[in-house]
Amino acid sequence: MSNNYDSSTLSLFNTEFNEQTAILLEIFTKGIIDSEEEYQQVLSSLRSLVTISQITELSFFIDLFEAIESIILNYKLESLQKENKVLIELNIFILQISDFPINSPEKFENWFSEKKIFNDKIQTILQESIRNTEAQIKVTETNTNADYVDYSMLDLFLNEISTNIMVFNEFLLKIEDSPANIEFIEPLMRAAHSLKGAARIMQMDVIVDLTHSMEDLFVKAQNKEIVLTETDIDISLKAVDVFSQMLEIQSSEISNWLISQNENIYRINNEIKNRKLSHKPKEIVAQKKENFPSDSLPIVCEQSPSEIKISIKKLGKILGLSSQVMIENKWLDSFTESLLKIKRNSFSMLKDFDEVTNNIPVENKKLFSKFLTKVSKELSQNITDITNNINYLGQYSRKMSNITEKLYGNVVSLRMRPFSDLTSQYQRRVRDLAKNLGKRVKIQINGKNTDVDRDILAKLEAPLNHLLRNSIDHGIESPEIRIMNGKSETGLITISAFHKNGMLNIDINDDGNGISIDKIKQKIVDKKLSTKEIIENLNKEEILNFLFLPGFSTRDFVTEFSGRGVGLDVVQSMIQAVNGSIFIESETGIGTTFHLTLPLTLSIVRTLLVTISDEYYAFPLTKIEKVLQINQKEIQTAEGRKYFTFNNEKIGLISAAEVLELKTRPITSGKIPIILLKKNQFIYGLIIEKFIGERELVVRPLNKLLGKIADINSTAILDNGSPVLIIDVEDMYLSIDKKLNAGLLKDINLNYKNNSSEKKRILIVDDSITVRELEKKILEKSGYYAETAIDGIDGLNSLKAGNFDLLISDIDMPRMNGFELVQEVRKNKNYSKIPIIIVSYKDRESDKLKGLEAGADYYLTKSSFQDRRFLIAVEDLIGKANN
Amino acid sequence: MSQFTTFFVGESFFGLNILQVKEINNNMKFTYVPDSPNYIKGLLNLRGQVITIFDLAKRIGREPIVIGTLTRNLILKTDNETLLLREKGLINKEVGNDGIGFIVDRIGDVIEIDDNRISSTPANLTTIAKEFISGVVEMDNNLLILLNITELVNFNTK
Repeated sequence: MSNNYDSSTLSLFNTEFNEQTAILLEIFTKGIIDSEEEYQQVLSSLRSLVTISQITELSFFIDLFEAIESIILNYKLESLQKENKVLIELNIFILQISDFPINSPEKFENWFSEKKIFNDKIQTILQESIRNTEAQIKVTETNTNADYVDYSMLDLFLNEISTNIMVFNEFLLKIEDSPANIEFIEPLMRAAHSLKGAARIMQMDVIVDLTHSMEDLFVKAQNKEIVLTETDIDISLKAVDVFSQMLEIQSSEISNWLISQNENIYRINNEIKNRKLSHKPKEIVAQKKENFPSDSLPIVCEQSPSEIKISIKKLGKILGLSSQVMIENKWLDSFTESLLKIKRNSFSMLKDFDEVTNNIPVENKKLFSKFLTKVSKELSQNITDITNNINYLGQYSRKMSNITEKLYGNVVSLRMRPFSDLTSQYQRRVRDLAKNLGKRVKIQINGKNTDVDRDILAKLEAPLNHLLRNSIDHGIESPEIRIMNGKSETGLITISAFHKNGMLNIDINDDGNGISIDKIKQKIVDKKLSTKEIIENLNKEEILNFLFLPGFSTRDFVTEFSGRGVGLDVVQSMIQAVNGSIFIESETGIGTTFHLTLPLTLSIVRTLLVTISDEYYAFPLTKIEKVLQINQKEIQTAEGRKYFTFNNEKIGLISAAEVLELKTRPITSGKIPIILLKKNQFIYGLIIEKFIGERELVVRPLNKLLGKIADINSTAILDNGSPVLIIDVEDMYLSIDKKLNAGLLKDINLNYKNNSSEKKRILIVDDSITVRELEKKILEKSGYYAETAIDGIDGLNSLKAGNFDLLISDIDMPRMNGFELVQEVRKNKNYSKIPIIIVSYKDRESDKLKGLEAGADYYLTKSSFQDRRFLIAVEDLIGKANN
Repeated sequence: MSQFTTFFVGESFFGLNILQVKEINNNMKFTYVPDSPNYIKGLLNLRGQVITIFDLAKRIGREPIVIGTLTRNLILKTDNETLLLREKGLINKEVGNDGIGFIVDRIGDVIEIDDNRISSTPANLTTIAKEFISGVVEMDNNLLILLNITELVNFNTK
C-alpha cells in the first residue's frame, strides 16, 4: 500500500498539528482541567486535529484523535476538574507522536506500524472511560428520576440537528446523483461528526452510536474504500428521519421518546454498520488527492450567529414608529411654508417702509435718516436670515425624508425571509414521493434568496406542497413513457421565485405531459358544468380555469398523494386569501406551469385611495379589476337597475356609499369614477366619489373588541396622519349580493336625476370659507342646490364636471381671479351661456364696469347679503328654486 | 390610597384609576368606522398606533357628546402596558391589547381616595347600567362614579 500525499495538505496538517498539540500538551501536563473554557478548548483542538487528519487521509491520526476526543467527552468536565491520571496518560501519548516525520512522507508507513501499539492502548483507555461513564449514568439513574437532559442545551442541540438535517438531505441527494463526487461527502462527514459530538454532550448514547456509524460510512466513502450506493443513501436517510422526528417531540418528552425508539434506532444503526461490512473494500488505487483550497477547510468552531430572533410584536412597534417618523417628517414641509410666509411679509414690510421713507418731507429726513437707514438695514438682514434658514431647512427636510424612507424600507424588510426557508426540504420530499410513485424526478429551485414576507412564506407551504405533489403525480410521466416519448428518463420540476412589478412571482414548472384540454372538456360536459357548445367557444385559459372548481379532478383513480378532487380549489382559495392569484399554462407533451402571483408582504398593501361620502377608503390594488370613469350618458337601465356596457359586458352599477351605509350624495359631476370588481360570476361597477391615488399602506388590524366589521379588512395610517380603513373586497362581494337580494340598494342613478331635476344647481367660487358657506346657506335655504370651489381654477374644473345653472364668483382669488374666470367661462362654448353673478368687496365703479365687461350679468358687493339683493339677483337670472 | 383621573359627561362625575390611563389629548380627527356600534366614535392616530375611540356618553346610554373646546380623549393603557401593574395588584382591569380610549365632555382633577371610602353601587342612584360601575365615592357635593372599564370596552354586551 502506497500513499501519495499532497504536499500542500501536508503542510496544512503540519501547522495545525503543531499548533493544536501544543495547546493540548499545555493543558494535559497539568493533569487537571481548570474550567469549562479549557474543556471546550481541548475539545475544539481535538476536533481540528480529527478534521485535518481526515483531510490528509491519515487514518492513524483520525482514529487516535477521535478516540482521545471520546475519552475526554466520556469523562466529562466534572471528573477532569479533579486530578485525573487519564490526562497524564494522554499527555504521554501526544508527546510520543510529536516525532511524526511530517516532512518525509516516505517514512510514514514505517512510523505508523511502529506506533501501532498506541491505538490499542488508547482503545483500552477508551473502554475504561466508557465504563466510567456507564457507572456514572447508573448512579444518576438510580439516584433521581429527573431527566438528565438539560433543556437549554437541548434547544441548542435541536437547533444543531435541524441545521444538519438540511445538510444531510442536500448532500445525500447530490451524492445519489453523482456517487463518485467526493466533494459531497465532506459536508456529510462533518454533519455526522458534529451531531455525534453534540449528542455526546447531551448523553444521548443511541444517537452517538448512530451518528458514529454514519460518520464511519462517510469516512470510508471519502477514503474511496467504498462507493455509496442507493441503499446506503436510503438507510442514511432513514437515520436522518430519526433526527427529523426528534424535532417534532416536545423537549420534555425527548428522553422518553429516545427510550421508546431505542430499538428502531438500533436497527437503523445496525443496517448502516452492516452496509459498511458488505462493501468489499475496493482496491485502493493510488490517487492524487485533489487540492483542497484553504477556504474550504471545515469550520470547526461555532460561527457567530448572523441572525437573531426578534418578537413580532416588537417588530410591529418599530414598524409603527418608523412609519410615524415618516409622517411626522412631513410637518417640516408645512413649517417651511410658514417661514416663506414670514419672508413674504417681511418683504412687503420693507417695501412699505421704503415708501414711508420716500414720502417723508426732505426737511424731516435729516432728523430720522440715521434711524431710517438702520431699520431698513435690519429688515433686509432679517429677510436674508430667513432666506438662508429656509434653504437650510429645505436641505435638512429633504435629507430627513430620504433617511426616514430608507429606515422605513429597512424595517419593513426585516420581515423578509429567503425563499429557501421554504424549499430546503423539497429535494428530499420530491425524491421520496417520486420513488413511491415509481418515477424519476429531479427538482431545481431558482431564486432561493428571493425575499419573501414571513407571513406569506408560512401561508405558501401547503399550496406549494400540493402543487409539487400534483406535478409529480399528474405531470411527470413514468420513466418508460418518458423514454418512449424521447425525453430523458428523469423528469424535472423547476420552482422559480422572483420579484416582478412589485409582486412576488412563483412558477412551478414540470416537463411532463401537460394537461389534456380534451379530457377537461369531456369532464366538464360529464359533470354537466357546461354544455358542449359553450366550451367549444372557450379559450384554453378558460378551460384550464375549470380545474380550480371544487371537486374537479382529471385523474381517473385516486392515489395516496393526489387526485382526490380536493386540491386545486383549496390551493386557489389559500392563495387568494393572501391577496394572490394563480393561473395555469400547459402545453401537451411539453409540460405544465403554475404561475403564482403574490404581494411582497402582508404587512404592506398597495392600495387605491378613494373618497366615499367624503371619507377616505383604500382598496387593495390586487382586488381591483379596473378603474374607469364613465359618462352619465353611458348609463342604461334594465329591469329597474342601472348598468353600463364595457367590453361588450353589461356591468351593474352599485353605489359604494350605500354598500357601506354612508350618507349617499347626489352624483354631481358628469364623469363618474368607478371601480370594477370582478370575481367568478360577480362583476360590479362600484361608484365612488373621487379617486385620490395609489398608496402603499402598512396594514394594522382593527381592534379585536370591535369584532368583524362588514366590508372592512384592516386599517392603516395615511401620510397625512389620519387612519384610513382598508376595504375587505371579498366581504364586499357578499354584502353587495346580500343587499341586492334584500332590495336594500337603491337605484343610484334615480338619485341623481331626482336631485338634478328638482333643484337648480349653483356653483359658488370664493376663496373665503365664510363667504362660501354663507352664500351656500342662503341659497340652500331658498331651495337651491349649491356647490363650492375655492378659486378660479377650481371653479373652472367644477364647472366642466357639473351641470350648473348659475355661477357666483368673487374677484380677488389666488391662482385665477374672478375677472379671468368670467372671461374663461365666456370663451367656452359648452357653458358660455351660463348666467354669472360677481360678488366682491370691491365697490368702486371701475371694478363693477370691468366685471360686467368681462361678461358677468350682475355685480354685487358683499353687503348685499344683508338685504335681499343677492337672492333677487339669483331669482332674476334663473328663477325661483321650485319652478 | 389610589389616585383617580376624574372627568365629566354632562353633570355626571366619573373616575378611573390613573394607572389605567395612558394619556389625555384633544385630537378630534376621527376616522369613521361604518357598521360599528353607534357609540364607536372612530379611529385615531396616536404616534403611529391606531386607537379606537368610543363615546362614553353614548356608551352609557345617553345623548352623544357634542365636541367642543373642552372635549378630550382618554387613551387607556393596553394590557401589555399594564402587565406589571396588574401583577402587583395595583389595578385589576383588562382592556385587550389593541389601543382603545373614549371621549368625555371635560376632564376634572386627579384626586386621591382612600380605598375604604369606595362603596358598592347603591340601587336607584344612577341610570347607568350596573355592570359599568365598579364603585362609588360620596364627595362633598357630588357622587364620584368609578367606571368598570373592562365592561365598558366589552362591545359584545349591549
